[in-house]
Order: sequence, then C-alpha cells, then structure tokens
Amino acid sequence: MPFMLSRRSLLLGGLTALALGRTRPAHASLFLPVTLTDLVGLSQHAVVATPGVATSRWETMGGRERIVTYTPLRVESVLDGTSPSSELMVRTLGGRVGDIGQLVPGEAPLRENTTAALFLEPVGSNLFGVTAMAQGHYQLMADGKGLRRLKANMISFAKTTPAAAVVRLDGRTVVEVEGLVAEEVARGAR
Amino acid sequence: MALAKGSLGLATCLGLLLVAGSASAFCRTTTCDVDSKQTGCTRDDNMCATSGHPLFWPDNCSWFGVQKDGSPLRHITYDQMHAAVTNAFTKWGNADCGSGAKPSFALQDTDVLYAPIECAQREFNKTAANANTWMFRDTDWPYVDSTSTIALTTLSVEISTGRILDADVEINSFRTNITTSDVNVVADLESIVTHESGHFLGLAHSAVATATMYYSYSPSSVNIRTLDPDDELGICAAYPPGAAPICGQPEPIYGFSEQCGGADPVTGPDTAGDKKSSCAVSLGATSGSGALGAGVVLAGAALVRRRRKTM
Repeated sequence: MPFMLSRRSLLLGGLTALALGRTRPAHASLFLPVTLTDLVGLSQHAVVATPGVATSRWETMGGRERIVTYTPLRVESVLDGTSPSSELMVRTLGGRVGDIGQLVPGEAPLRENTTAALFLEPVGSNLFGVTAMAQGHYQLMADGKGLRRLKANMISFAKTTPAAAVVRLDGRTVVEVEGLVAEEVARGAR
Repeated sequence: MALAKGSLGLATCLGLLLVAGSASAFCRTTTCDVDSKQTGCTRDDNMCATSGHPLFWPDNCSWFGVQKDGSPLRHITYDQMHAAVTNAFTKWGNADCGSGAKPSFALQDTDVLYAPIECAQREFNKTAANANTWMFRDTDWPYVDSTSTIALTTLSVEISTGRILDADVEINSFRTNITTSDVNVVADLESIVTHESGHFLGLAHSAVATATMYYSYSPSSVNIRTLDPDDELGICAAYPPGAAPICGQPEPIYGFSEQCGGADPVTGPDTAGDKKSSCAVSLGATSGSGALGAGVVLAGAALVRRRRKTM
C-alpha cells in the first residue's frame, strides 16, 4: 500500500504536534490522509461514473515494464461543475495479463459496472488517474431510502482527522458531496 | 468489525479468525484484489476480499534485498535502510500468535547471500531473473500522487494460485522527507518499512486505525513501528504457527539477479540443485528463535559464494 500523505498534511501534522506540545501516547494516532481540499485541488474532474470493460497490459513506466489497466468510465454526472467528456479513460496500476497479475495495495479498486464517485487527475492526453488512488474512489451504495451514498475504501474513522477526504465524504449522498466540492472550489482549492 | 487494541486475547481469537476472515479487521490480500474481472469475488463491510486465493510465498519462504545506494537525498545510508528492513521483518516474525507461538515463515537476506541490489528500478522480469528489492526513489516518482504517496509495494503474482512471484517496495524519497530519528520525525522510515513489510508478506490494509496495516500514516508519528494486536492476528492467520519452514537458496522465477533486467543471474534453473540447503533464516518461533540469525545467513552466504566461484 502506499502510505498517503500530502505535503500540506505533513506540515499540518508537524504544526499540530508542536501545538500539542506533548508526546503522544503509544498508538494514539493522528491520521492525516489526503484532505478534501487537496483531493479537489489536485483533481481536474470529480464525477459519478461507471467503469466499463477494462484492459490490462504491460507498459513501460519509470523505466521498467509493469502491468497497468485502462478502464473506460461512463460519466453519469459531475460533482464539481466541470464539463468532462461523457466517457473518460482512466489508468490504474496493476491488473492481470494472462496468469500474471500485479497488485499495488492502495490503488483505486475500479470494478466493472460498479458505479462510483471518482476524483480524477490528468496523467496524459485524455487520460486520467484516480487522485490519491483509493482515497479518490468511493463506491456508491443505496441506503434504505434509495439514496446513493458514498462508501470509502476500507476506512475507520476513530482516529482520523475531520479534514480527511474519506471522513468528509464517506456516507454522504451524491448531492451532499456536490455541495462539499463546490465549497472547496469556492474557497480556492483549485 | 474493529478490534480495539488489547480488547481481545490473541489466543482466544486466533482459532476463529483463521477460518473467518470476514469477522476480523485485518485483511489478507487475495487474487480478487489483483484481478478486478475475477468472478465470484465477495467483500466484507470494510471492502476486504473474502474470496479468491490468498497471496502466499511458496513453502512460506521468501527473500529480500536492499538497493545499494540508500537515499543520498535524505541522508539515509544503505546500512540504515538494510537495518530498517531487517528489523521490520523481525517484528512480523516475532508476532504473538498466542501461548508463545510465532507465525511460521522464513526470509533470506540476498544482500548477505550474494550482494546488495544494484538495480535501482522496480521490475518484474517475465522471462529473466529477479530480486525482491527495497529501494528509495530520490530523483523521480513516476506515478500519480507524487506528493501524497510515501511508498508503493508492487506484488507480482500467479493468479491461478495466489503464489507471489516478486515483490518490490519503492519509497518516495523524492517528494517525502523520510527521517530515521526518534526526534524531529517527519515521515518515519521504520514505520513505513514496517507497514510495507506487511504487504510484502501478503497482508492488505486493516480497518483498525491503530494498526500498522492501516492505510494511512500519521505525520510525525512513530506509533506504527509497533505491531498492533490486529496486525498480529493477521500475520498469524497468514502464517499459522507450525514447524519452521525449510528453505533452499532464494529461487525467484528464472533465478535471482541483483542486476537490472535479470542480467548475470546467480541462481536459476541451472543452479537449482542445492535446494533445501542450510541457508534458510527462519522467523518462525517454533524453534525458539524469532530473530534473523546472522550466523545462519553468513553460513549460507559462504556456501553460495563458493558455488558461484565455480560456475
């Protein structure tokens, strides 16, 4: 897995530690995952979309071959007021070619026909990556009233910072998330 | 279900968790995490895969090496990195599985057996020798999230079985201020390496916020240097206590090489006749030893070097 940490978060963490002015007890953690501000700021688009049929292949990246997966997204709606194409191509690390698979723990787990809210950053011409990997991917789950709510990837909130994107987005309805993203944009996240 | 630290006795829970992954917070990596098209995959409430083949090292034996350059940018030497990786694996090997039992897996240090890794690239050679390499990236970070990702582990696996073929760990020293001190901690090397070691051994992210295998790192923290009971449950489920594994020389597919592209392999199909030699380093505690045994490693190194000279 990748440890996720923004430079801003690093600074904030350091300042927070200084402000607390004490040594934290063992296992009392101050988790600062990517904030919603960072997530919105780094993303070119935030959308609700459904992954189509993915294709994996070996590709040179960082000077060496690795397996990457290209997944077309059918854009259902936008969360941030931008105007992306109706179909976007996303590249993620890992995948399967023949009987060999590669896994990068922490990468966004896109699944065919499983609609999700996605924060996307450009990685090439008409090509996107999921911003902050799994922290930029939220499967949509219908609640008892039929409202679709965001579901963060494997997250426990007990000790995380309230500013974390996963904390602010998990369990929210799509409409609520549109509002939160709009607030971040209005505050100058982009 | 989140398991609070210390809330459950390991000995009591282990038997249940070994057969009921969905009832635990730790998570094992399976082939369902690798192949999104695999049918029949199921997940628990924490999105942990509860089906597919769990990833495993054959015979519970693995090996690792450290890239020889360290991180000049962050003033971290090869020796410091090597010690961090060794200590991390030792911690996992010393996990408490209850009643003094330890997880049963073995690791070999290819730096000692052969030489530190020359190749400064993450790679899996499909038809050539390989190494399981820990490395810093001082000059670039070629992936998405250059500012938010501290480290990446890439596991190459055989989908039909879950066998791990190769594991490489890249640390983003290019963008992250990696530190080794107990004071003025920014991004703590020991914490990072301990976490990535769990992935190396086949664990996925835990939903327990205090676990070393939690997905996110707390800046300036050294808390996850220490394994949480949830981490111990996970490693004990992956490598249940038992007889100490007996491992031969490190045998990646197509052999071992510390060079890029698998050049000049020092083991391979034509050098595999010494399987089950005495150079295994057991981290399982059934033998009573939970630490890397340097004497054993050096004995293996002498053995292999003599063999190499005669090639």
